[in-house]
Amino acid sequence: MNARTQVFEMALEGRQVEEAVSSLFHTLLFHRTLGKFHYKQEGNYCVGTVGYEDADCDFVDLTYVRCSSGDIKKIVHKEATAFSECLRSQERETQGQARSGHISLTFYQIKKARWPFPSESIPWEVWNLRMEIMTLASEIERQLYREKVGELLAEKILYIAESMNRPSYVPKMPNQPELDLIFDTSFADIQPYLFKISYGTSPPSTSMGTTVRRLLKDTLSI
Amino acid sequence: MATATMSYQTSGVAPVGLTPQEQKDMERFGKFLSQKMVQVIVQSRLGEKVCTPCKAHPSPSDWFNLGIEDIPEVGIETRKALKGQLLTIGSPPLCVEISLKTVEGDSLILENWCLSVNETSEPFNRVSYAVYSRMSLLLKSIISVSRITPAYKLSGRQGADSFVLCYRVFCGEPHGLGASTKNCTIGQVDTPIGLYSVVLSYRTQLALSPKDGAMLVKSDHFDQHFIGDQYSPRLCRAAHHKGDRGGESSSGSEPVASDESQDACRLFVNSPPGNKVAEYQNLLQQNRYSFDDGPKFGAFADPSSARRNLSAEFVLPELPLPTFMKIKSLKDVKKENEQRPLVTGGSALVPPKDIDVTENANQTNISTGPVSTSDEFVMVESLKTPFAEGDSSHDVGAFFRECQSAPVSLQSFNRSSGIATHEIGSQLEQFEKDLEGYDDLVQSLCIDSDESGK
Repeated sequence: MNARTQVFEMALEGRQVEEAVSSLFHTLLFHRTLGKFHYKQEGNYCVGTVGYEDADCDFVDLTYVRCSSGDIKKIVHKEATAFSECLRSQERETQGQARSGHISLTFYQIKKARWPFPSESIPWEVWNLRMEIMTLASEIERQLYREKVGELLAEKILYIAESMNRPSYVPKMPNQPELDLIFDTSFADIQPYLFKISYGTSPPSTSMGTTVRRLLKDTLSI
Repeated sequence: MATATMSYQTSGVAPVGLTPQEQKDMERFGKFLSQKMVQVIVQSRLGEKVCTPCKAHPSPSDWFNLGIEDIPEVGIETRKALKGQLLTIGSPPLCVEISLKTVEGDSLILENWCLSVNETSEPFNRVSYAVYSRMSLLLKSIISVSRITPAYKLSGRQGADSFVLCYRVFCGEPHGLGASTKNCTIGQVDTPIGLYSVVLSYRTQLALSPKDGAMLVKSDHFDQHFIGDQYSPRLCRAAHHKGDRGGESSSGSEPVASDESQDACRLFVNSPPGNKVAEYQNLLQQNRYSFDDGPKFGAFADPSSARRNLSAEFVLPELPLPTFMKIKSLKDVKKENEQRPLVTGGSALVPPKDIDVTENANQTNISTGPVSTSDEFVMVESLKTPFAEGDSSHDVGAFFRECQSAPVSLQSFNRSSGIATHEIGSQLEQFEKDLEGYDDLVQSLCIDSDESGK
């Protein structure tokens, strides 16, 4: 199966990485989360309610919406913080030289295989964020960039909303025995599609660096 | 699943192949999509953070598996705008208009959210659950996108002394927003009874400049006869009043002004209801603000708490400050007196929380947390605060006048000056007699220091 793959590229200050990742991933997960299924009998179930809440960013001029489930907040926070730390520590080691990394949110379903083969994870939607750490010289630049990143993320959120509402493949609703193959049923109050977050770092590519320089130049020449 | 019931007229055109139950389901989905869309948009402009809990077991009002808490007033406005009809193919879109109004009376439409129904491309999509979940997804997108427009940022900054955000729900074509506008189709849901689309248009330039033309007019700019623009909020009000007088009803094509409270000055749902809304509208119309008008409330501000606080604590009495302090101290004494019967009576109607009972010299005092009277407010209790008295003998000026000269009560003023002079003279004579002794002492000290230096 070919998974839908979307890529967002951004250049951010180190302190903005965690919030940028959280805002986009929470928006995606909010769309890809259903209420908890409660089966009364096979084929007859009721669906719980997905609550939501506003979250303000400190280092980006943005408010985003996320599921109000504590468990999903913990997972995203943990992964986003680890990715941010990874990028920033690399930045410190290289004495301020720009470094980049990527973090992915993959929605997948499990396909059971015949014994003795293990079951297989098949991704059906992948959201990739490529981020580059940058350093700004002055507080004025930081303030300008705070707003700029807010606008940038707002565009991405709008894109996500538009993309989610296009007719595209989503695993069809399973029967009760196969629920775990499509949904993550480990949450007590919500039921997101199976997802995983993975990240890694990589040296900056030339094209990315050029893009960042151009972006910075455009931003700060206002 | 939600069981809310409302009497809506059906479109009367049953798509081919739909059973009556399926038809009914689809119409209910469409009806509640309209309702919930307006709710989430208006709630996002309240200037407050929204937080609804996830629930394992849904309540009957939880449509589309989303925790959207309904505000009754918004629901009423939506139903009035729809006039009991369902949105059908070709009918005017349901619009939610968010506008900004300054205290000077200037207004600016910030954004339009429109839900329209068009010809469906999938008339045989009869899976109710698929339609239901697609509508849920669309609502999630509306919720997410509502936080990224400039109007959301403005909603948190509104206040009675600067600007307020207003909303209007109507069926009809939305107003133009000028040149700097961004349009986006948030999503579409294909159903057998039509293709539901939500389109957002929002202004990207928020500066009130002369280029914005009509939005900058003063509220009294137009003559009464010129109020012919049927889409103007003011016009809606005027037309409505006219209708009241003449018994006319507005045509279906024009924006529906559902009642007086949805005027140009459509205040948000938690604005004061009833006559307070009318008061605010009158003030806006008069374009006159003074301190006599009392506090103004933002459309999204919580008026009950604000008014309570303002009236009780922040309204300054027209009295000089010393008198003010005196009144306060007397009030505390009065409070203390009021509490005593509570003790002597041996029982209280409402037992206070955190009661701290202390016995001291056969006297029992009850203090109830923050309203405790005795220990924490020594200054007030003493009633002897410097300069706090109202009469002129206790003011600061009198104090300084008193201190400018030495006090007459000093003992030295009672002695005669001749005696003092005599004493000083005799002392000086004695010092002169002893002068040789002083010289010897100084010389001996010098010798000692020389010897020690060696």
